[in-house]
Amino acid sequence: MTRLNMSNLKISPPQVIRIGAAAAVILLAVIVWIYFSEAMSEAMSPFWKDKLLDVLTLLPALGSAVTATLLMRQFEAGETPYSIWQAFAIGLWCWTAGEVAGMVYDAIYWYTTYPEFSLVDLLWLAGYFFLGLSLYYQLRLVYGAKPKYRRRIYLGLVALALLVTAFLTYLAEQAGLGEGYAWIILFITVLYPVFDATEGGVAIWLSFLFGRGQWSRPWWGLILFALADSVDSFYWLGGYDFISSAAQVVLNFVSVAAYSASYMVAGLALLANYFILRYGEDSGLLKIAAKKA
Amino acid sequence: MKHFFRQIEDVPLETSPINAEVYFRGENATGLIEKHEESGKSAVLFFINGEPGTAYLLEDGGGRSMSLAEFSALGDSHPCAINLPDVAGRLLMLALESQVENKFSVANEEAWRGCLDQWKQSRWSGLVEVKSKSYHGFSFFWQGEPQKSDLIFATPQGFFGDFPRPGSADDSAWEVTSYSHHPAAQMFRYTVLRQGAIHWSGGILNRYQEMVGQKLLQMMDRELNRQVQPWRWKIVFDGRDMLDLHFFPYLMDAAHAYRALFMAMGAQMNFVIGSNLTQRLLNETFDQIDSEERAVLQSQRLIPAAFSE
Repeated sequence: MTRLNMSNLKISPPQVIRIGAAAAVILLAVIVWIYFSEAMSEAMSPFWKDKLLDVLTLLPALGSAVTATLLMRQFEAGETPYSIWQAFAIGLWCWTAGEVAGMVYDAIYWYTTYPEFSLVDLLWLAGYFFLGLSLYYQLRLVYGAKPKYRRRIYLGLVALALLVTAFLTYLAEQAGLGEGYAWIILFITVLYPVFDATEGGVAIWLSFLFGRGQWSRPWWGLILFALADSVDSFYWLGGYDFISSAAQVVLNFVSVAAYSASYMVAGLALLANYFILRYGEDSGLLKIAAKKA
Repeated sequence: MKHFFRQIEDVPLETSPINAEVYFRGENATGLIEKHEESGKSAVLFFINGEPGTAYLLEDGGGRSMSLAEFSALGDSHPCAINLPDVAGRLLMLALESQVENKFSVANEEAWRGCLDQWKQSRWSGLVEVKSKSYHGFSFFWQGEPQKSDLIFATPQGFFGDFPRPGSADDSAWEVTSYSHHPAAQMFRYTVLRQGAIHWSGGILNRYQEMVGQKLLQMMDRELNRQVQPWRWKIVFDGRDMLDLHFFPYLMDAAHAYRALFMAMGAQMNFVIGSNLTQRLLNETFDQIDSEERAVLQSQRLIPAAFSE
């Protein structure tokens, strides 16, 4: 293996991670401030405020997709971890494309009715599929399924999630939720929290399984996604009516912060893993492990 | 006349056991001193990386351990001393602590292949000694397979870690001796411990590579090879394989070395894949190794729980 010379780098990987983490915290604070600040609401129209938030959210999304791709390229195509991080990278690219598509759709349909099903939904669902596939590959590697059953198991799990969603859609219809929407639109609306719960749950499971291992940290991003989306799901189910306005502010804060932080956490964890693979012990990130040991 | 490794030249010393001892100590070398009394008694004293090890009185094709004082008291005005690779030293010592099980001749490659197939089919475990005009070597078979770390042949060109071809024109027929071992014998326990450490580490590194890929495995190898350096253990990690060519004089010394290496593996894995998964990986791979190997590892407290947080 060709080892790269760290002396060519002006700043070390641990410094890059620290600077990245600091930038992420500042960006997160700016996003939260713009979202909640009355001064910003007075200074900008809702349209431009929304666009500004979209752009600021797109930055970590793009960063996480790029670092996932860099990490994936550190493996040979035949290696098992390659397929895990390939699916993860594709999933993040789908979501990044979804963020861009969302910005464009927001701009086009700001003053008119938003289409019931759009390219944004398609990209989000594709993102869920590939991130789910990545989680499945990781679990399969840990628990070791027999090769001939592997694809069937994943497709079976997807089919199960769709069946559960169909049942939940039926219950939502009975409860009078989503009145005036086509069944398929209601189904897709329910599908999001189902995917969130499933992938968030599996990501938590993996995190427990890995302990605090460096390789589990990108999954923490998915846990934060699930947390952010669970607030939206709670509101969609009529949660507004059950909580005070102060609690709503807290939940809004959690949703906004967790959503952006999810990309940042995943991106920084992927970047650290990339540095470890690319520069090995010279990255300074494994030496920390040696000192701890 | 020398008993062992006749193909190898003696250490060029004044023929005195004291000189040989000084040489082995000074060079931190492994080797042996052979003495032959006029009465017909023969004995050998092993030096293991510069330290005097066990002495054996040679009798009935085997060896009976004797004290260093007894060895010194044996009279031989022309003792001979030879340098040995650690593998040759530890396999010869294993032979001296074992009982002859079978002796036969092998004239050609076909017959030798037949022997190998038979041992493979019966999953036979034990030491094989091969003697001919051109070669003298040992190979330890485990579950029917010759072990890469425990295979050595002396030839006129020096020692080689592979089987030569039987039946060559300038060689005689191979005299093959297979040995059986007492499970409690120190050298046999050391051999099984070594096989256990090699196979367990192979399983660990194989599974670790599956999980994290080739690059992190190579980092692990470098870390393990770095751990070995200050101790000057002749142990090399290459990919998923551990090649142990060191002769530890005592079982405890070997256990100490393997413990350090498994701890380094555990620390690296704890950082990368976390403590739970490390524990799981160690348990899974420990369960996959042979029960006899597992028992010896356990007797030295080389167990999964000792190597993860």
